[in-house]
Amino acid sequence: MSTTPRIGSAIPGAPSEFGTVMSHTPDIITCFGELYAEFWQQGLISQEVKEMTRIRNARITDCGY
Amino acid sequence: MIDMPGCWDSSLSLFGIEGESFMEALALRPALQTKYAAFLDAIESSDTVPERVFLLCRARITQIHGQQAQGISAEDASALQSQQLETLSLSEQTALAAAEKIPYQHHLLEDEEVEAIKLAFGEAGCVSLLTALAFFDVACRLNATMTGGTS
Repeated sequence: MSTTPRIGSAIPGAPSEFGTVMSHTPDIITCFGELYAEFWQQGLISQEVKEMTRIRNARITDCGY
Repeated sequence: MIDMPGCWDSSLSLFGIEGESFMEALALRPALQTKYAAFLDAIESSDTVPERVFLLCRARITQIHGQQAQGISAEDASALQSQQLETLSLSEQTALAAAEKIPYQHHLLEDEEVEAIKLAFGEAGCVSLLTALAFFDVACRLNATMTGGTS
């Protein structure tokens, strides 16, 4: 695991994080944002349950988010 | 366009319905299906990563999950399975080194390996490839989860 960003920000002056790195591929980050919003804002599963499972998944995979 | 649902073998049943693919199951959520397909299309449309690299990586990740690799020749499938990669190009080998670790060893991906990907495909290509690898893995996991198949 790296402790420093491996890919620089695509946005000058902005720190390297998920959104600014993904901005190297504008089409992908745009579509991802639309998909992620649909997933979170719609559907039969409550946001609380989604967030609980997201956190559990992040912990299992040792993800800091 | 890559036949992305290759990881979801349409011959496998989903929710106990024989022959229904995951993408078909997503028809239950049309907006989600449309946006998921658009997202996959955006990845596949990368002009920085050759389609063959995507196909090889998808096939290898599929193999790691114990599922049937599709979209590549029998020779390539055998080479991937046995890890005899000498016949592949250096950039293909570089991408496959990352693909090998994504499903179960993602924290073992080294800085040097990511640097090699950036050298081979550029920063945008690196983002495209790593995103694709992650979602090839997701596809296999969904397939296994929904069909009760191997993962």
